[in-house]
Amino acid sequence: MDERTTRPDPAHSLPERGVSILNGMIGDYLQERGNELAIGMSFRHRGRPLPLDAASLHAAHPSPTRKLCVLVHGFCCNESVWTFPAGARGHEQESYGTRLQHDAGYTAFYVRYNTGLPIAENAAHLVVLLAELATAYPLPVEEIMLIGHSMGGLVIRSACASARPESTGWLARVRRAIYIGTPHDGADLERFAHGATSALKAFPGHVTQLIGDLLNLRSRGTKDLGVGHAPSPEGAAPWLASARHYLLMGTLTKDPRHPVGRLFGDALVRVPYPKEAPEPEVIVFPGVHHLALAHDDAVYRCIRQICAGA
Amino acid sequence: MEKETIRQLRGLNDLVADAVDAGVTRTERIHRSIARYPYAVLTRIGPVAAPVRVVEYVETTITGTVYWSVRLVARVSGGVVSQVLERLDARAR
Repeated sequence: MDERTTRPDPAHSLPERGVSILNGMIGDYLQERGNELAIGMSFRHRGRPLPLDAASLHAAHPSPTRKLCVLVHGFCCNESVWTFPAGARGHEQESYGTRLQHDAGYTAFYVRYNTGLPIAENAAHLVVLLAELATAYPLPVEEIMLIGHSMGGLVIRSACASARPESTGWLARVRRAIYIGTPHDGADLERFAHGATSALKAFPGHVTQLIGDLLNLRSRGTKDLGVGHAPSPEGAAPWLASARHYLLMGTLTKDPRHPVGRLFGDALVRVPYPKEAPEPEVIVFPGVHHLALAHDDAVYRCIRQICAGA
Repeated sequence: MEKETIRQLRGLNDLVADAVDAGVTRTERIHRSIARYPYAVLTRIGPVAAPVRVVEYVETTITGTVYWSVRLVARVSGGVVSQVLERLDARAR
């Protein structure tokens, strides 16, 4: 059965988006204080939590397939970021997930999580969540495709690096990981915020100290974005060797070699130059900005080509 | 009202209470550290030192009471909102 629906999705509502933004900004504080605005990582279906039990899975996916696709949103977002603009206006709510289900037989699962938590912590939660999904899923899973937008890509990479193959059956099923606008080399904006905070706090004035303290309130998840490459105590998280990795990046300019495009990338993340082996494939989408990468026709066509590949 | 909405409102209420408390505390600290300078200078002047200390004591007491009152009002209103939300939550069950 097709997932497309005309029912309004609460994930698009202003309060839900506001809560996701708040979690990105101060999500670690909300969790420490036990505040009920803190988001716990879960799968979502049409904006509501999807419990991993047989009845709920059947209700959400009456015709499951053996291929799964898990979509992980980015910083300060929720799963509504995947929805194509026409869907957000109340027509068919299409996303990469619904299209992949329709065109390539993937059953899509959308993750929502607290983007203010450290990336390693969210990765640990994702490892558990994927293990629970693999156990509860009504069919044997042949393939899992992981798609992460922005910070979501770092969470995916870190989850694959920290999962133990012997204890998590899902890891061996991951054939492809797609990182969309993911700052593997760190985000310049966060590095700027870090530098500004340090400079302000170096001045003895009350006002500069206050502004520095306010800037420093940003969450640990935000600070992790400055480092990129899914930080862990052991250093950069390695690419999962058994999967193929694709970096889908955007640039503000139509010409990706234009100095503005090279300097600012998609407005938040610059196009990386992979140095490690095995090198992930980098595909650039000129003129597509950071958020648009999560719901763009050209990006979807590319994902379809990736799925069609061996 | 949906339980999810009540849960979010409760979280928002707690967050506002935290923000007011932290904001007032920080403002009070900055206020005191700035106000300390003129008093420190004036108390070095022998003939006015004693009355300046009295003025400083009175001013500190008044502003301290004002900051304390702001915190109290914020906590009481937060508590009232919390009670209302508890009742709404009980009805929503």
